[in-house]
Amino acid sequence: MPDLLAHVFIAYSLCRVLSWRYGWLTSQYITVGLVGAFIPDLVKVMLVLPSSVVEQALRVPFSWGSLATGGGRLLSVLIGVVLLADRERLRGGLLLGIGAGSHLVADSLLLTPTGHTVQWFWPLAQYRVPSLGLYLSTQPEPMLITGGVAVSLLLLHRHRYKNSDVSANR
Amino acid sequence: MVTAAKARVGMVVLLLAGHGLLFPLHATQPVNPDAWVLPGDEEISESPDQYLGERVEIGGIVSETSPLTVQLTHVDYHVRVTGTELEPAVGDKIRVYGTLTGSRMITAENAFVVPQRGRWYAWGISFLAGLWVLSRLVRHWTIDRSTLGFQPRAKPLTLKRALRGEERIDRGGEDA
Repeated sequence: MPDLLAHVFIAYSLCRVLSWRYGWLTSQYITVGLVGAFIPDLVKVMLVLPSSVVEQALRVPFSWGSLATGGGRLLSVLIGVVLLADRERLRGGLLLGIGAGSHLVADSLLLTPTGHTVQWFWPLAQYRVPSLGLYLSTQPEPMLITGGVAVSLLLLHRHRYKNSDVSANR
Repeated sequence: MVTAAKARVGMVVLLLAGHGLLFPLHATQPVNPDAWVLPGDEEISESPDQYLGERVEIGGIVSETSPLTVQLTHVDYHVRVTGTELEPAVGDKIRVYGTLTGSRMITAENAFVVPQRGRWYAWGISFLAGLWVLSRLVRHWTIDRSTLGFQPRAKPLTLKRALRGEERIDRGGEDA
């Protein structure tokens, strides 16, 4: 994963462009897209509480790694969908999916020694998909580039709506 | 509605239980070279002879540079790495893909250094991202206390309105 800020910038850029096409996609829904971009990185809890520590405490084999697989991410998105009010499920769920999906795609570009990264279809299949190996998660470049794109889109958006009264659609 | 709230809590508990099942399942995943699930630090340290001649993937801290020796992550085991032109310093974190040619010997096919300074940078910047998204969520969305469902606020919350206690009037978003 590039750092989380880069993922949030990517989700923001996608949602902002879609908002020009779909009027209902206001800033409030863009926020849901940004939350969706966070879901795959729940796996970072392992930095605070390593799998081995949990394993010793529970005395069963344990790995946070499932959170970073396709199946684990789908479960996390579903939790978000359940937490939304009934009439927000469709739109909110769509945005959560866009956020989490863009994160998965970006993660699939990471540099690994084997050239293979995410288990998209686990637990159905173990296969780790091939990666383009573009960057390491610790490099600042992806954040700077995606940040530049996000800020440009925000400015373009403000310019487009300068003369119309869309104050809610910041 | 109490039933809606109960159903919501029940569903969340059910989905969390799903996660609870996946954690041990992922930990006990078998090695499967065809799917690129390769023997790693734990497998090699526990039974190196079982994986002799196989493709492996490891990560760890460089403890010696000549010969290149790596202390594996989370396990008390070190291996020598040959076949790479990488010239890391002692203390560098490296990741290696290669073949296990001896119980403590890997012939690398690919290896690179993970910059350590970058890791702190990634944590800090990710924390900022969290604060940004959390503040947007609080400003734009609210929880309906009767159903426990998230719904958009009629007007985004500002610090001024929050201090005046106006956010309570927002519930419902629009008239039912």
